[in-house]
Amino acid sequence: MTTFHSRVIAAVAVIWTATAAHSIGLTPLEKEGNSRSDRKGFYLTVLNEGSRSIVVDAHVMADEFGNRQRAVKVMPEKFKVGPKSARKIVLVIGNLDENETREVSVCVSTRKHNTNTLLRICGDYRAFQRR
Amino acid sequence: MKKTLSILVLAALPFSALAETISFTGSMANSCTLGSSSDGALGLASDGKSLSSEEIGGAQATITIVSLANNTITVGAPTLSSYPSGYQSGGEVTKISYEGTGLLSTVSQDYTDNETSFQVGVIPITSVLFSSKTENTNGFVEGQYQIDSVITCSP
Repeated sequence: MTTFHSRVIAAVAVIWTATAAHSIGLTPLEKEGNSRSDRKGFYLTVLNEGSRSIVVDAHVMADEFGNRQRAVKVMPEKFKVGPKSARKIVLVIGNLDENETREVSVCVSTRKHNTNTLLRICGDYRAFQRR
Repeated sequence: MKKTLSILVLAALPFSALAETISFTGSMANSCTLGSSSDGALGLASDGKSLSSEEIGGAQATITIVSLANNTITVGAPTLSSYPSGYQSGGEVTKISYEGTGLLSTVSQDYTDNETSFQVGVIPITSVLFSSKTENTNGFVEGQYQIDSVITCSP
């Protein structure tokens, strides 16, 4: 019985530390949108539900063939998010040809202070030009 | 007569207030949050040929996951990213294993040196416990060692 109780206490302790964790979130993870021009912008929200500030790197992933995505920018690429806070970033997908859909993957990552624990969230975003 | 009219007006007010509708709207977008609540630690095996989170002095690492849609968690192949200058790297085999808890209790991965992944649905904060080890028949020298693995959540 004592062992059972100590297990319950241990589990509660894990949950408590989990809520106070170093953390990173991203929303939405998928989005698509039309544009009348040759570029389309998306607002993405980076979340920090942890109790400490995090430094976040945002980057556009290479395409399926490993090539750098042309005319795609995420801004800012490096920023800080305070504890229990969120920050919006902008993804702009440019060079859209008429009736062309471009899909871009963006990842945001944070490195835990004094460690190399890297947490990463990636999303897929599709832009389509329709005149 | 004047008094009676005043009372009627006052009595009518609460009825108009009851007719009001209060609405709350919201949408739930796909989102994923990863948290690192405790770092792992490595302990040296008694034969000196293995550093592991399961040895004395070692500890598992805990990663928490919150997902609001069907997402994939990818656990990158582990690497021995840091070691002392006197250590001759290259001969070691570095592996990672993990086990889910609660709603992810069906998630389990034996020690592997490859990239692995598992699916998550809509889950509140749920922990996954990671263990890691690196083995080298030539042994290890004194100093700091670190094993890394990148954890990624994606749709």
